[in-house]
Amino acid sequence: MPNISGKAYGLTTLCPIKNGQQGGISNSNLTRKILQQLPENQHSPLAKVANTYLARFFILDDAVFESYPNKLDTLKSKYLVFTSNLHGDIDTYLTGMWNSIENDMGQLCSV
Amino acid sequence: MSNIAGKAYAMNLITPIKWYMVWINRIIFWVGGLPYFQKKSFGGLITLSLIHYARWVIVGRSQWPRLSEEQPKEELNYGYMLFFSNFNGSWTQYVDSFSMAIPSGLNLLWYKNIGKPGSVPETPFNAYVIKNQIWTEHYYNSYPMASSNDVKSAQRVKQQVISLTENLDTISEADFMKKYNSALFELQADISQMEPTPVVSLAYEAIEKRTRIEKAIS
Repeated sequence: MPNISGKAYGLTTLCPIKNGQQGGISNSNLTRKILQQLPENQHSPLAKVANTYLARFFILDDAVFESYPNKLDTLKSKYLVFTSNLHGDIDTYLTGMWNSIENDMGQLCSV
Repeated sequence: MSNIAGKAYAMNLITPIKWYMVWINRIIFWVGGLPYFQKKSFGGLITLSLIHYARWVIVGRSQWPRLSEEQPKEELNYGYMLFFSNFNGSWTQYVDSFSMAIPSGLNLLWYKNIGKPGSVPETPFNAYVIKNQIWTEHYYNSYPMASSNDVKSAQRVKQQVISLTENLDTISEADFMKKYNSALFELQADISQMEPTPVVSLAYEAIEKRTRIEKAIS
């Protein structure tokens, strides 16, 4: 199943967020808050990551229930979803991402 | 929190699929990705030229990442299809385009997804997308003011400019002028001034219009 289309690579990551809370705020909402406070456009930390075309973060809170008679699924963890459409190979990209925005990623993953 | 970055809109969909349909859907995508079927399946959308990138990701019931023993293991009834799209224009234009351009392809791409209505009529399909859409928290676009068509135009301009630089040592002035004028003619649709369209947010457009009127009055 191809992650590659032409020169572009489609990266999809699901990062489980620890259950629990800090100071009355769930870890997922703390993560959400960090994401919402990230500077945007050319000031976004992702602007420092070479070879990024388009990238996004969102929080997957739970599975979708499509109503009876379908069954109800409940995710036991929430997930930080990161997708990126990037140029080139994935190893170079991720190495560059770490070298460029290690602190920003550390903050996001520290929750 | 925004689904919009410049001219691009980020759509995230998650839709359940019965566990035994996971591999059937994977086969459908594999076949659909073959060059012959890709043109048949996506030809309509390619013509519309709305999309920067789109992808479908299928996560089976047991494929959710579990990074430590402390993390509870997922126990799900369904597999899940995740759809991510980066497109130009409004949400309505995009979803309606799918329905109008590739209705049968749409049904195939979300084959037997739980609760999915047919792609036509559009209203139930629009409601399905709204129900299953997840808002983006942070969206980055490295070329925010370029639409998909702007990028394609830039590629064509680049190719022509490279072609114009060939044989400069040997070509005569007259022949170069002919070549240059020919290139201009071919690129006339590609080298116009970039506009803020397609309008991504009608609300944003309304605000901009009001601002222009207020400035004109003052």
